[in-house]
Amino acid sequence: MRGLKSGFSHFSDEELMLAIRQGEKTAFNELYQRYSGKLYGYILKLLWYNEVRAQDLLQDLFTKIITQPHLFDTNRSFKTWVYTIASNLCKNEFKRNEVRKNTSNGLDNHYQLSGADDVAQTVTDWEFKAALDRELLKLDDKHREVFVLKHMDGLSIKEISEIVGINEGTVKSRLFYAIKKLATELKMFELVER
Amino acid sequence: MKQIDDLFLNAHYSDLTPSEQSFLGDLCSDEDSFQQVKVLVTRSMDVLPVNPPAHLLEALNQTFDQTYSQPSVQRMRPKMFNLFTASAVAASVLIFLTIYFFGTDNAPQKQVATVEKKEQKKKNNQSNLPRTSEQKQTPQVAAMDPIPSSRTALDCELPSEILMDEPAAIASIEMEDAKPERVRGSRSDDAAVPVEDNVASNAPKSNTYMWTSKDKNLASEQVVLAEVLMKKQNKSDSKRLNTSFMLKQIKPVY
Repeated sequence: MRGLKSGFSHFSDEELMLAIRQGEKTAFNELYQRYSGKLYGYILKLLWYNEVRAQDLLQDLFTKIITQPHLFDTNRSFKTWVYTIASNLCKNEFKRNEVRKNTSNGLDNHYQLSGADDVAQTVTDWEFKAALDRELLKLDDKHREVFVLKHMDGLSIKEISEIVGINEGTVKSRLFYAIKKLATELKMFELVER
Repeated sequence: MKQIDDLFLNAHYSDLTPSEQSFLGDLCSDEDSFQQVKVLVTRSMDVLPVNPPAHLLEALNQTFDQTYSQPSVQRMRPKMFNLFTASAVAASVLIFLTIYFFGTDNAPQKQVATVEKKEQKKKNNQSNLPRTSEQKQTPQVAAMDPIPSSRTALDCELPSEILMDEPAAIASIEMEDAKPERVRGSRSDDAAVPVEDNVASNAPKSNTYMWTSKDKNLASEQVVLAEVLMKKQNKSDSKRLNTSFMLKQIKPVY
């Protein structure tokens, strides 16, 4: 194992998983720092910003990483694997509880002013993000999921196809539809370019 | 083909090639719609990830400590299971091998033992045979012609069969195989075969007679010679059969 035990920042995700198998808590913290925010945002968007359920699912996901790291195949991509787990957890949540769309549920709490110098810009950002999230919630689950994975989490078409379990052509068509729909609804922000 | 992101991020609509414009035709057909999508794509990427609450990490760290610091039963379970399965497999293999070797080894030993016993009995019988045959069968052997001499004689005389005509030999075989039918057939069909021939054909050497009766043009000496040869052959055959049968019938006397 390369480097010191405490210096896991240079480790790849897969190497961190190997270290977690050996009981390296620092490796787990490094992995948590890398993915907790993205996964939490992903789960939040899929669960209509139900924070309590999103936190529960995130905890379940990382608990699985802690207790069953051997389930991860080191030959696979960790990012794809962990997003697949998150996607399946959300789908199970859909089936189990029939989560209802509640656009006002916790949505406003996410957009707090960060005290930036350019207040006008920050407000615009906040408005855009709020509007984007609102329009995202109007989309179907399948279109929203693809858009979030692609344009918010930065995954490739291939990775999305593996995570969602559909072919790349379907990913592209869903992405096309989502972009067109959102672009039409967020037309008011077109002149505000950063 | 470029990704959609690349098209929106790194270019203006006027910079797009005709093929790229046709590719994006369904999404944005003009400059305005292109700008809408561009804003959406670029700004949605800037959405910062939402940080989960701190208590979540604390809870997970506790879970990590519980899982890895203490050798819990859950962690040991897979190893125990592996040990259990390994021992079970080893035991089953051991039992199988034991059954295989001892089971298969015992059976041949028994068989060998029985075979050995049989062979011993046979040997004993063979060892007893000369005595009994010498003791008991001496008169019978004496009554009959000595087998070795007749056999040697036969062996010497066998080439004489080659001297026989083929019809005679074939006729002899046929007569031996189908005696009763010939008799019956002769009775029903008097014209075909004379009655006296049929009567004579009851004898073992009747084929000779039949042959002679059918072919009366042959010389009498030849007929006699053939008859003698056939007699000898029949005698030797009967003797050979009798001796083997008698040898089989001999029971050992201890």
